[in-house]
Amino acid sequence: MLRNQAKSGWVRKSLVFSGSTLLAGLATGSAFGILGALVPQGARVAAGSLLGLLAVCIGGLELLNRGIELVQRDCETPQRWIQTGPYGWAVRNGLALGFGATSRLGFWLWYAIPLGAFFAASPAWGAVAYGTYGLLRGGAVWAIILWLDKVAPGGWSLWAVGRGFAARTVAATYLVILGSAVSIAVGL
Amino acid sequence: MGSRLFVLAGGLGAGVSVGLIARTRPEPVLYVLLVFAAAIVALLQQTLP
Repeated sequence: MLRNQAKSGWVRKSLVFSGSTLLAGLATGSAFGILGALVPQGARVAAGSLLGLLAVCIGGLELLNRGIELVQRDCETPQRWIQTGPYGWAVRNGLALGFGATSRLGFWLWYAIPLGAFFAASPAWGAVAYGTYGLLRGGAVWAIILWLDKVAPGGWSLWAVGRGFAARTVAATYLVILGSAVSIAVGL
Repeated sequence: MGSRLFVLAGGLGAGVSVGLIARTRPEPVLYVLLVFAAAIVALLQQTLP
């Protein structure tokens, strides 16, 4: 009985957390899409093609182990939020992580999300892209709680942190691919 | 093994998408690549300390 209650508490908190990350992603993506639509298409195409080339350069340098230092607020979400209670923490942490920019980003590829939502100039596509980010950023907690923590040797956190180099390589490779695609589609 | 398969599948998918864009330049393919980027970043960020 007690165990079931404890589990139900975690489920509710995780639902609030992942719902908040999704909400933050959807709202932010829509806002970027609306803002992008205010910019003339010619300016978006010109800036987009330049940013595509920049993405190829940054991703390429990262793959050559000459990565440029990431512009980010390199910190976790504030620990004082724990004092707002489990649900207060879940909402605040969820909104912050679903938005992303106010805490550690980790990868240049992250910038593709807000910039992509902006240059798409469509609230719907902005919401889909940023919402996907929010959904998976917060939704991953379910995979960790229900499955990954049990199958990963030494627990998920330990396993995941040890894969930092592989993660950077994947992110840099995708940045090059995305930058190439943007350059081909809008720049050439 | 799993991560290599992930990279291979992602690389192949992205390669095909870039090929499609090069041939036809459809905007939706670009949007799909953007959604993939968002998904990849969100998953990779789980590896951050």
